[in-house]
Amino acid sequence: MTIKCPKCNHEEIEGAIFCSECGEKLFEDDISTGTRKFSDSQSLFEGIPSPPPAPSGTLGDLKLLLVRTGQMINLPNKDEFTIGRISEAQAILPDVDLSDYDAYSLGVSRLHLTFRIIDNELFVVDLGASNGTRVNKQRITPYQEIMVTHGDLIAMGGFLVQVLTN
Amino acid sequence: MKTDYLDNYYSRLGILPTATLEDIETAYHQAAWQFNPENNSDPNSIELFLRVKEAYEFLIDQAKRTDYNKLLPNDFNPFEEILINTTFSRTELAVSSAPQLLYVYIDMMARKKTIDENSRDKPPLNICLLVDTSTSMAGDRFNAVKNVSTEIIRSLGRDDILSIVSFNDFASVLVPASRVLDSRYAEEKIIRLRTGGSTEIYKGMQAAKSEIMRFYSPDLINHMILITDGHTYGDEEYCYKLAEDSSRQQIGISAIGIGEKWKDEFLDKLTSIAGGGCEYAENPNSIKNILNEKIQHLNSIYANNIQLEVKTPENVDLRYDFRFKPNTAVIEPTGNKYSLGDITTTQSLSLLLELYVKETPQDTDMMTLLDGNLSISVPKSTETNRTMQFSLTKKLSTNPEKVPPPPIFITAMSKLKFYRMQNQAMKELDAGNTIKATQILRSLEDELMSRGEPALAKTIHSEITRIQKGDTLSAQGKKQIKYGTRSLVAPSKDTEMKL
Repeated sequence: MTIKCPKCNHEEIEGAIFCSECGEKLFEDDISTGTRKFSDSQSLFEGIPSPPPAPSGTLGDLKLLLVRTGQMINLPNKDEFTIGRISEAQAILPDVDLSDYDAYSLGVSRLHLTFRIIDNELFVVDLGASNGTRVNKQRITPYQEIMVTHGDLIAMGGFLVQVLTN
Repeated sequence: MKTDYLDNYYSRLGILPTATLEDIETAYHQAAWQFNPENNSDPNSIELFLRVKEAYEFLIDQAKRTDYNKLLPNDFNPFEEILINTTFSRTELAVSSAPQLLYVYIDMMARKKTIDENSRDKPPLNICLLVDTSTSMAGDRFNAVKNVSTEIIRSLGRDDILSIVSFNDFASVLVPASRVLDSRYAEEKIIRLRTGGSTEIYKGMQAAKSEIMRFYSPDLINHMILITDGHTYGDEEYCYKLAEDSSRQQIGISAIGIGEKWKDEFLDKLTSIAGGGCEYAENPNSIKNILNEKIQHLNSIYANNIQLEVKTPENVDLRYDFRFKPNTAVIEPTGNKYSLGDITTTQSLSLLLELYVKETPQDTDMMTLLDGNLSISVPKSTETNRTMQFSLTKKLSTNPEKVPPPPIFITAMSKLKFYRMQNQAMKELDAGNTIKATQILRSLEDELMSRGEPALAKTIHSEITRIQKGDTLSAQGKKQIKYGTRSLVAPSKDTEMKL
């Protein structure tokens, strides 16, 4: 009975917690620091008003409106950035950390999605997050660029945000 | 079913089986305060507290408590006022002839009552500074040692006892053990110190120990602090023997290695035998901080000389013992005895044990992992030396639950893994497996980079380049990697309790 490290294939004894050669974690992390299971994301989208229209033309300052609390998060002024939540035992940190907004209990993964700006258009890519991502109720395929525009609703697990581009 | 002596509801609260309901309430309220994240920023405090709460809710229920007491052995004798929390990485072991690993996290904390309500005074220090005065110490290093020694002398309390021994080829007692009534005398002696000769640590240690013995008492914090920059020749075994004897006589030993020439394996082992710690002073400036921290640590000791004597069954090995707090160190056994160090009034003693189970028995649903004696000294208390017997046992199952380890292990191991990876790489290098060693160091470099430790990652990078050129590691790089990754394990200073 051995465990094979998913990253470097080194064989470890059953019960090992991290790979002794490459440092990769060797446990299923669906509890505690891992992502919590979140179901019932359809009903999240009910009754959300549309924002005032954004001026057409170039993308303005990107913001995310946290629908549940009405808080606003400014997004970094970069062409590509990741969204997730910071926790212990994490090697790669997201650019935007949602852990202060109850992200864990709402089922946001540590690296949940990436925003990309290509030719003045905004795209979102799900990074294989445990609870997936929905754009306007539609579940999106992981690792595929999906275009989003002003007013679109994105649910990371049960964490609902609205994209604002003005 | 036999109850684990070490993980039991009484120890979690730091009370005796004879405790009244009122005692239980009091102990619980104190623990709640101590583990509250507002007073204790150890990331594991909540998890530990939940276990204390579980114990409280159980013991406060008279019927449950009566049933529980029936499971306890007749000679059950937990420590009062020391909270012991034992957590396992797995709920069950598999019935199997293949090897398995099991981790045990042990946290020992002094009960709050004993810290600020008790009238017990802080135990005075009985320390000896053992200073290397060999030629290589000359210059900045020596000046730094002189300065900080002077500072320490001035900071000592009225009842503290200090001696200073210098050594090179010979040992000389510079300041005989005495209460520092007039610091000018000692300061004068320090100013006159000169360097010369080579490094012979054993002679120095002998002299330091006899100075400590002059005033020796179990109610004092008896401790030797060795400051050196060199490699001792041929007397290592004598030094180890002296450390073993010191440990038996409850004298702790710590060391500060300056620069790159000293032998880290030697000082790590020497200090581990006597329950102290070895620190790396990369440059003269760091000597001051390390020494001040050491004195602060000694001044805050609640219990010391904590020793674990273990016996494992034939199919179990205690493979690794690492101390996370109060100061990080790998704890090397002497025979079957592990010197665990101290519990301070501001920090618990936290350990991680790695148990290697070669195979599990087929015909039982419970196995003993180890039997042991845990002994502690509490200076200036009514009962200075106490010993408690315990055992660790684990349930066996043909189809064990697949659950992730408790968060406490993930937090602990995700910090410890860097140190263990460098250790693994050094082992591979020593065995001549340069390709494997390089591969591990590369992974370590990546991990450190993404963890936000670019300086350490860069050091590793340049050492990899050396290896690839067929060179050996640089003495400085090797120490930077070893103690640098070890320092990542250390809790930040703010994890101390607000007291």
